[in-house]
Amino acid sequence: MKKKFLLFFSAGALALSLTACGGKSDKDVTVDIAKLSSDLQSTITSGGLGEVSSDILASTYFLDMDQIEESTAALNSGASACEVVIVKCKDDSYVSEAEDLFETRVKNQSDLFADYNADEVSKLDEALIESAGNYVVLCVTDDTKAAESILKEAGF
Amino acid sequence: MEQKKRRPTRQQRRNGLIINILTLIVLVLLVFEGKSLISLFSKQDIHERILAEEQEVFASANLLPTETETEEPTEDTSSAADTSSEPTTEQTSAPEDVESGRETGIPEGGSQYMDVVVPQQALAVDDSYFEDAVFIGDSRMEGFRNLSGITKGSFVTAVGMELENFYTDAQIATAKGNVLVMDALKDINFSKVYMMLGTNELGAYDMDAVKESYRNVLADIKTRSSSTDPTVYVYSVVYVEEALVTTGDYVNNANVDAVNLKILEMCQEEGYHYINLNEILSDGSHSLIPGASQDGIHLEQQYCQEWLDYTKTHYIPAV
Repeated sequence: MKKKFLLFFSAGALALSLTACGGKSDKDVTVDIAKLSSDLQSTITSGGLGEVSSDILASTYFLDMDQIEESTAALNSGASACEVVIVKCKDDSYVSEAEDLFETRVKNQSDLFADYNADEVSKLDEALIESAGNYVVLCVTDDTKAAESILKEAGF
Repeated sequence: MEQKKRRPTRQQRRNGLIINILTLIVLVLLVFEGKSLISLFSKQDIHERILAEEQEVFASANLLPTETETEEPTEDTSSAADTSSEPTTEQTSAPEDVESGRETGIPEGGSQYMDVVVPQQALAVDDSYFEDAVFIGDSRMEGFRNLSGITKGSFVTAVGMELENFYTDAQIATAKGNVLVMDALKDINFSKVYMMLGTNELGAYDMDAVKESYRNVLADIKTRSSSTDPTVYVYSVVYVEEALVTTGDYVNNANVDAVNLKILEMCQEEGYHYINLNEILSDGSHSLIPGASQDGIHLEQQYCQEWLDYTKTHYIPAV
């Protein structure tokens, strides 16, 4: 009886830990992406950002736009590495791929800025890539802590 | 008996004094305001006179407006350009202004290359014109891509792109990492090239070497085109706001003019088309408009949008 209980307990713990590995993507959240983008942009002080078209978003991050339900991307004047991108995937199966693409973007940018403007690399080192439900966010900012707080409040 | 001469009375002396003063005033008016009186009597239009006098004052104070019509190239100018009625431009160019670059953003000595400066067209193209265009350039071009609102065209841009690292540094982002510019171009069909390099070359000691490198790079880019004779537009290097620049003293407007002169030379020698962005981005005295950039180099959104508008009205019409 004790053995059965241990086996049952172990299986339950394993299941729970596997669920935790999935991050926050199982969260049932609804995000106003325009407001969240605006809030995150308020943490950027090194030059204003501008909203880009979905074509430019796709070619910048190599996202499959057929997999994206809604999106917003604010990019900069070329002076800094700061940017804010939020996408809502049509299906949760695309969330991890979107996260990978954002990781690649951050690495590419780090490689470029290392030679050009090393100060920006530290921002890229602290880049936030977070997901909640079908939403994925990339935020490179001057104030990472403030951005983290905003994201936490939004359910990420 | 000779009659004794009578002395004028006090009243007569006073009247004489008044007449003398009035005569003096009339003479002064005739001398100093003669031109005005003549034009008044010749019924010259008052508005014209005000404009002419305004021009004189601005010219003497180096305060001429920045948005002006450039000299029209003889080869590429369409008749439509001559009848341009764009509200943002004024037909005020004069040879001396072109020579000095005050109005037009053309560097001193650049007037002999005006035939390669792309003229304004009467009709603006829409974004579909850029469907077969590739925009290649440094962080300033990347800012244009991000902030101008352009919706068509391929972009091969990178922060830190320069002629020196053009063939050596993998700097164009792909889903699999960064690649060389020339490799990135393999996957793009283009028959128009919009090129902007030169800002990262402002510290070069030998501007002739910069010109030769630019020439070689553009020749190689043309080999990647899907057209046998692609249209090549080369953007001027945009002025900087020196007081805000922190990346080095060499990033200054004297060097911008120096590199732009070499770019103009190259365009004339190679048959490329020079797009003179400084026509709208200069403050009128060889410097970037104050407030156009937060760091003195990279343009804010409003000015990137003006750059796009300028590009849409400055093109070579299809033959």
